[in-house]
Amino acid sequence: MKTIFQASGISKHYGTTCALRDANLALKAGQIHALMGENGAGKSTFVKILVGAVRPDGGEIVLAGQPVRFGSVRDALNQGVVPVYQHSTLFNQLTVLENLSAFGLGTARRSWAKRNCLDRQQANEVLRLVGLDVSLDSLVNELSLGERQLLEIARGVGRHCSVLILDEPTAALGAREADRLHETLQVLCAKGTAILYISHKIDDIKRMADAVTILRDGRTVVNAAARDDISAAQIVQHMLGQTFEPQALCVSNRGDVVVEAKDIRLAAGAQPFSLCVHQGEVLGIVGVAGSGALRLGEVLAGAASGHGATLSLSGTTQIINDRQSAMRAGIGYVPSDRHADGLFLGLSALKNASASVLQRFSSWGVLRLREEAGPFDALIAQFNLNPARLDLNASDYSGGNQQKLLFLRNLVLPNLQMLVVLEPTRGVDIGARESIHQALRELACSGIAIVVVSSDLLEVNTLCHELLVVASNRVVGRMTADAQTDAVLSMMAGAC
Amino acid sequence: MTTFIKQRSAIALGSRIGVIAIPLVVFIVCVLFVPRFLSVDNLQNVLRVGSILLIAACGQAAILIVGGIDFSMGSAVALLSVVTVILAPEHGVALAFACGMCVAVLAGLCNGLLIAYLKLPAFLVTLGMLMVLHGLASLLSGGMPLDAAPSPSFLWLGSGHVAGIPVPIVLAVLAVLSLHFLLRYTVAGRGWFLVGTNFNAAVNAGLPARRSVLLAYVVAGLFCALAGAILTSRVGSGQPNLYPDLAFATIAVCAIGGIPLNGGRGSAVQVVCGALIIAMLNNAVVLLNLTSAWQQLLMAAVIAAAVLLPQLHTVRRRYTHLFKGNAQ
Amino acid sequence: MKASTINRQARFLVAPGGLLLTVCVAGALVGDYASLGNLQNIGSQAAILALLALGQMLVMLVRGFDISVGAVAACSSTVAALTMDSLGTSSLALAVLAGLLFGGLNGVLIAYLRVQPIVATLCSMIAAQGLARLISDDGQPVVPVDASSLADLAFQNIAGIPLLLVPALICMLLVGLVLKKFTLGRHLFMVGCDPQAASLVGVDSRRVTLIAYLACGVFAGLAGAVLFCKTGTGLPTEGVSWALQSVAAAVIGGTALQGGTASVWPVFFGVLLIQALETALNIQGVSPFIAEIVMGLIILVAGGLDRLILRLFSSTTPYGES
Repeated sequence: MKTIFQASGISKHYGTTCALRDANLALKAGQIHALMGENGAGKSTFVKILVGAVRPDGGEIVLAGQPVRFGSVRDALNQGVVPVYQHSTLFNQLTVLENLSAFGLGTARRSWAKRNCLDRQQANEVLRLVGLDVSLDSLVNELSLGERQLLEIARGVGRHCSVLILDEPTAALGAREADRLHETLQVLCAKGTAILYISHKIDDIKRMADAVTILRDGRTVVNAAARDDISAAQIVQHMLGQTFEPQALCVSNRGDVVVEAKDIRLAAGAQPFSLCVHQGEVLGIVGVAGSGALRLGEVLAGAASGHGATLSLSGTTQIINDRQSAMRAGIGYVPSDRHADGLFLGLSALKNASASVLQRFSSWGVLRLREEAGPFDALIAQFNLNPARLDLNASDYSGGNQQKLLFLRNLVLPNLQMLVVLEPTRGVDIGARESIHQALRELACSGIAIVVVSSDLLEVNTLCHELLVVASNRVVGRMTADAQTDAVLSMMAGAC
Repeated sequence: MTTFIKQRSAIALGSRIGVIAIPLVVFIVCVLFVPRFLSVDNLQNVLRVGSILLIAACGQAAILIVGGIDFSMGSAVALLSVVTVILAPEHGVALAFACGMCVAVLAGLCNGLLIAYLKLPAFLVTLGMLMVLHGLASLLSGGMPLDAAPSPSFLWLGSGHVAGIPVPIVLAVLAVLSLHFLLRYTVAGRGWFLVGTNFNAAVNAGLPARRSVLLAYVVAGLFCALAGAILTSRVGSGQPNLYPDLAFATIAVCAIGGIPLNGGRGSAVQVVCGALIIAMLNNAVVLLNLTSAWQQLLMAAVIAAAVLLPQLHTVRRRYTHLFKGNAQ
Repeated sequence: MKASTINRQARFLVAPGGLLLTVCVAGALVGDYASLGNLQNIGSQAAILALLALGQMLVMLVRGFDISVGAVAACSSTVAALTMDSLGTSSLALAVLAGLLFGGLNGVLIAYLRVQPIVATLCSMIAAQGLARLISDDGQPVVPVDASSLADLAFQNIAGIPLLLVPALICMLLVGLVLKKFTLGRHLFMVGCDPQAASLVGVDSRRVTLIAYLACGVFAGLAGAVLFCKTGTGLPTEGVSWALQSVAAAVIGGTALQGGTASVWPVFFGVLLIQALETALNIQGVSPFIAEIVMGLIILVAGGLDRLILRLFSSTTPYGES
């Protein structure tokens, strides 16, 4: 198989910081090539260079045997390098056909719109290729998440595409939709497209990729290793630069019931169910996107209505129906999307961390500013916050450290009884992931109840004592932590 | 990353100095080029006239910080003036003003309820209230200005003195100090910054976000009521077109002072600087004998300059920001 | 039908539905309301607001708004009045040009210099007011010496349609065509829907936004020309409330404040609704102050319309997991 896209010796500096010093990549036609690396390894900068959004300081890119310099994303697009991003770039108010033709429409030279759209038959062909069964005239905001993801790929494929770059493509997909994606990718490979598959998920990569390239510290440390030549442990080792030992689980010292939730309905009209969370236990909730798993977490935190659910602290008559009362009752909450729902990005880290405990350093509504930073010193050390200070703007911290700020916010609650965490380590580098997991374990050992909702089965397996499997807005299974991954996966998929 | 953080703190320091430096520069320019500017009488006049706008702008600032906006201030003060003038002859000056101010606060409460609890867009709610309140004011006054009985007590707020200092200036100072205190040292003020930065995050963190927004509108209603009372007292009449552009003027003050219109940031100092700049420039126009047309053109130019100057930083920053590279 | 489809249609039915309701109710209660003459009168009065609302719709489509439209129209009418004597009917073109310049100012400030729409258009509103005062002897209406070529324009009709309304109708036809069939129109929707995604697929968001504001300015200038034709004078201080009414008409006509959704004819029906209501109240002898209160309440309701429709027609969001 021919190498059709090659980047060699790419370097990029921002001021005195070096984002990339020697990045290499060689994509072969008809192959799925995985690109992995921690946040801060230079991966996102590298990808931006590959798609033409950023110009490298040094190095060379060769496409189909010719050296190229991309002047812009448009430029790269026109030469067949097509990116598909994590966040949706579809237009809700436009039809499927128009979205498929978005690249053509966007770079259009002709004034008459239809001329820039794909021919309907062609469009239907592309939809069939990716396995998407929707009408060309339906609006995008009528499609499900999985359908939108496929449409994004279809859009990339619809025009001349020799290199398809997928950024975390299965992040929001369920197992069945991920399989459909895999089939689509195989079809594209058969046609000779080279696919660059960027992902954090090791098991995904082991299943789908033909070759793996790993970046660390701005350098390529593993260049195009064949899938069978490298193990999952070795991948992690290369990414971290050190050996990685899974932590031993703290023995569960499950105490009394701390929170009772009755008559939970994850959607209007769904079957109600009840559950209890105990002191010191780590309860995991898993389910595909749209199954209701995240919703269940939100209900337990008081952040969403359970359609008639009653949430209460055990032993009290106090009903919890919103985040305010939940917090007063001692239920902490880390939402799944820290940027949209968790952080105050224009404000300092200290203001972010102290947001829930303003009462603690105020009297009669007046703040005692000198006391604000005090409670956080120990926590900063415990979580390895980097930089180890809270006076910087929250947006200056890396993703992992921003996530830690959200934990700080909850751990400083005076009467914390239960912590609900949704996707605790999404978009977080392995170092921060370890700090967060360790902190959660210590928290559980000290008697706090923890609910973890995660799409990362590995994480759930290492952290949790018990697993709830959610599908179609119902709890379909309850398993202990040493359950087989396959069993859990099939349960998640089966009831869909 | 540290270089970038150093750059960012330098810019922040620069803008903080800039905020205070610019009114100073304007002051110096006026002193040098505008005749009769630097007299005690004139300076006092500048401050007195600017007080009303400053107090109202304090209210608008609180609303902007929490992420909202209020277009209805002009009509609120109009209604206040009409109500006050109608009630004054029969119920006495103090009670009349109290009622008028209550009306303005109620208008703020109304805005706040519709925006925070019914979740209607602030833009449309306050535009609608602008018309409703103006209609009410016109209805009550028959569309004509109503003159108040020229009693010294009526005119005290606008033209009186406390220990030699004009009342409006004293009240303006108190208003600014209150705003500063609210924003920096109270739970409510901190709540405004949090809610204005990210409403969802504030809810998730357990803050009473809706109540926070409502409070901002009510507090703004208080500031607006004070400004309206001073204005009514000053002109001695109640009219539906008392100050129709007040809301826009307060937005201009905040914009010139550097308060972003999408929430999360702002300070009393910025409001003061914006108000002083406008007051001095308006005064300069009058003293230079220019027509009101020039006043407006100058105002437009100042607003444009005030929002464009900080852009110089960001334009340069766009190319050195660590996490955003752009080949264009 | 899925909830979002219903929502999509419903927001555009409010204006025509409301108009129908108003005309029927008013026609029943007020004698002579539904006569051709009265309807033509409404149409003629709507001419100016229709142009302003059309421009407002375009900028709202790209997530902005323009509070300077009224002032720009007034300024343009003044420009036309001042140059009428020397240039004859070309003075109308000059009015449109004035609108274009202000539109360009807004567009550059907002699209290229990243100024917030409220601040930028506030700035140009004040500038337009100032300019109008400057050229018109401090705000006095400007009467051209010889306005005979314009006489009776306000009262003429072509095929039953008031002549004054024709420019607005032509503009609406053009805009409707561009939005549906031309690439530029699709670009406007793309930028309004998701500016970043639009940039990623190669749309020049800044240029598209600039064009929206230029068009808004042109329509405001044209509205000024129509104003001049209608009254025979230039009115520098007119138009303060027109900006508000144009926003109201656009919103009633289904344009989303957050951008990405707009349709031309419902906006026109929104304008007619406002005019019809005003006329009905006027004929009934209702105080104009009460009419204003009613208008304010309508705007308040229009703000809640979106959420009301969503509530009425669906219990969950389109994804099922709400």
